[in-house]
Amino acid sequence: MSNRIHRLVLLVFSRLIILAAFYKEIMLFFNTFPSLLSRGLVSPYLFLTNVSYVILLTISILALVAIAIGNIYAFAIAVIISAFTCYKPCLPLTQIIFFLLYLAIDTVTNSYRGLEHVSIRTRFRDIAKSLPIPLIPIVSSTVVAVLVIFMIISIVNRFTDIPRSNPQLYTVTASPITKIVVSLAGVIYAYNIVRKVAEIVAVFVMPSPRVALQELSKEKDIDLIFIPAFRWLLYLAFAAILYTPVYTIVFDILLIDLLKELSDLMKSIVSAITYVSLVILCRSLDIFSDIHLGVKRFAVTSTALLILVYVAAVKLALPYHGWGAVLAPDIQKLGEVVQKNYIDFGTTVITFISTFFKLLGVAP
Amino acid sequence: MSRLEILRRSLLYLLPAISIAILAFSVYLLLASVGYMERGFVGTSLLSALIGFALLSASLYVMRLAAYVYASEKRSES
Repeated sequence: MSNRIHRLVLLVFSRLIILAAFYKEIMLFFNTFPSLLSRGLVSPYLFLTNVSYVILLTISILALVAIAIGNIYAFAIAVIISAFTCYKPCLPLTQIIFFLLYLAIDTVTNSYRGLEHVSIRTRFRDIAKSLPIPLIPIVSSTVVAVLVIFMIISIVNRFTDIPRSNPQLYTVTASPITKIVVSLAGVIYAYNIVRKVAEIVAVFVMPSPRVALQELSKEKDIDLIFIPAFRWLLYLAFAAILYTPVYTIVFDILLIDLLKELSDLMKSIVSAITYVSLVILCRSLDIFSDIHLGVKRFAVTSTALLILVYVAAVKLALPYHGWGAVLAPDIQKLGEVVQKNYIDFGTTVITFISTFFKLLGVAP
Repeated sequence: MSRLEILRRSLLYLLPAISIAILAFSVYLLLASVGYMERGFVGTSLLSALIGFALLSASLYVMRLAAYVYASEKRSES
């Protein structure tokens, strides 16, 4: 019986911690929410104009959810969002300390069995030594995050300097989409780097011969085939080479009656879909990194392409030879058609690429 | 100390040394990329950044190998 009471006390205490961390936001929620409801249709407009109020409202709702069902994630997300309540992103120190307290109490609540009187004898020196250990990950991750953000901000800010020397690029660099893409790429890359560095540091701090030998004997990880960065660019180019014959065979020869009915917009949509699916196909075959993995898929794909070529050649020869075309496919004519389309496509691509590089300032 | 032993010992220091050398070069290239971007050479800057990032991951890979070699050497000493 006392077990349950202990648990209850712990649960109530943990909820009180959440309340203490976010009492201001919850107070604000209860003060303003009735008036928001009574105002009705005006409130969406207020949501759109007053971003900080929306953030406060979200935090209070998340905190109320955390109080109601004791969800750690709701509390964690509320703590993270509360960094944005200031005008600039700031460190919600009180909330973080309350969150750490909540985590400790949550662990005790989950592992508490009640009426098991166990005591552990520890020396004061051990406790003093173990106290800074939880701080190390917090401090190091904060430092790394601040450094990464500082670097990304400095790179993005450099973009404003470009238009002075290269005014054609102004529309590209000034758009927020470029900034978002660059920041996202930076964050993803920084994540990879930090993960690798953390692995190295962990191995140096706690060297374990067994794990190390296991890792060193993994042939797949050690024999690294060079994988260039930004491989998807290579796949884009490779798909562009494959695109012309496939498009010609499928849409200019096999399905020509179907395509005649479509409008120009639909035609371009169809060709774009073909190109994207070819890029995905090349990516899934993974030709540039490790050919040994996808042998089966590679065989199936190349056989399918050969069958496509054969069927198209048969269809081209059908008007002249009748069903004898099955034995005498007109590959000569197919080659001519593909070649003609290659030249058209090639001029388009080369024009596009040269314009692009002229814009970037690589070519004069 | 046999010659093989010396080679093994030197390998322990050689791998981190190579890694740090590559790391220094990659950092130089990344800084140069920022410099090029400032002067408006966008293409050169992007190319330099690409090489810098590739060298950075190469350095990390060598450092990871060095860490595992170091950890596996631990057993023979103890």
